[in-house]
Amino acid sequence: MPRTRYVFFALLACLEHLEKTDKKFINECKGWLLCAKNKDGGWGHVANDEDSKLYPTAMTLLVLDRLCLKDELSPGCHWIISHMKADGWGFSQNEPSSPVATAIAIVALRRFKGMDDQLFIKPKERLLIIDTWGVETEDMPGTPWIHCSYMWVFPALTHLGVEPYSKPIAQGVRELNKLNCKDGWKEPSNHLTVRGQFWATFALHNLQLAYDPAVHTYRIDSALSVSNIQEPHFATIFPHSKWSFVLPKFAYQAATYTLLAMSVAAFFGIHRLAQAIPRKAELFLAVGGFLTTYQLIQKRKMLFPGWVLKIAIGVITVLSSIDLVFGLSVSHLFDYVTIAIKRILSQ
Amino acid sequence: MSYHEQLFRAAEWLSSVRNEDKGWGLSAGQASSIVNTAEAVYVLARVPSPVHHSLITDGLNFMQTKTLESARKDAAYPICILRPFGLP
Repeated sequence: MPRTRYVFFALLACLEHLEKTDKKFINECKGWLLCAKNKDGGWGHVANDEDSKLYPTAMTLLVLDRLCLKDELSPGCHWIISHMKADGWGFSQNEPSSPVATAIAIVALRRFKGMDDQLFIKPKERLLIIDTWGVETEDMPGTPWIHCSYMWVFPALTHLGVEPYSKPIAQGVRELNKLNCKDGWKEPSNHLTVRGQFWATFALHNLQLAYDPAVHTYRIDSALSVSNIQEPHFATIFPHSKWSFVLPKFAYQAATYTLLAMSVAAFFGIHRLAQAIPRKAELFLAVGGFLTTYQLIQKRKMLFPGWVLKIAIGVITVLSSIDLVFGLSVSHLFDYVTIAIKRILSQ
Repeated sequence: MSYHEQLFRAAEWLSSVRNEDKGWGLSAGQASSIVNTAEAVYVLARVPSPVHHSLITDGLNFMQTKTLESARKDAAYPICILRPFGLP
């Protein structure tokens, strides 16, 4: 019979490739996991075994959360919270809390809004002590399952607001970098396995999601930087001009949105307001503005939702198409509209 | 060595150790499993290059087939669990 881990792992991979996956299969996995839930709201290693454990519960919450099943998942969240120990979580009720189990619980719970931050204070303190990080083994049906610390501790800490360049994470990344080899990443036990590649990729990908290249370049380059940590190589650092990273987030966002609005205004024809501006100059300004906006968004992608860029490109495409197909420039179009409105008003 | 360069190396290694059934085992030469194949597909998904797309598609097909097979093996399993997989 499929164990819970088979299904949530299959779903984890499929969710990365929704366009290539049969939707029916995803629904089947979803239905299976929902049916496999125990009466106490958690999941066991085997479906309906009435022996809920942290790992299958947290992993199931992680994958089902991506399918937007919030209501069905709240009993699972409550199960995890109710099984918290003094300073974190253990893999089962009989085991003491451990860094990896604590990190897994945090990663699962932080996906759900409304969690009391007080809940995470002691677990966070515990995770910040890097000496306790290590590989942990859990007995699962069919195999002793190895859990790796960095895979879970990095995302857990960043979910709790710890910067990816903070000392504990940087130290952890340095340890992880020691596992680099010509074929990717080895396991801490020095074996080259698929699992080892997955652990490292999961850890570094989650770290990269918390990483703002502009801010961190500033921290590395600036004379004001107080960090004396050797730079961990976990992401490509793009060159930035000073102004792009010295600006605080809100100022950078405001400047970009203003430029976008001005470019749209130029495209729509500001010459009607300032007669001295020729249309060609206006179009030149508009296109330049759009290109600059694109560059600004690309430099600090994390600060902008994707729809901003889509709208900007959409506006240019639609207006250019009207001009190309109908020979109707935007300024003319708006002139016609203005004249029509004036006529209506005069009547 | 940046993360992306290292990731590309990992992807190259994964493509070299794939089994004939188009799945992955824990390490080179080991029998394919759903979990290891899912792990490999997850890693390949992170590589910003279309070179490995066919490996991903084959891996996804492998997982879907194996998960279904695994469900069918236990006919005595509660109906609620089997029904999503199209079983009676």
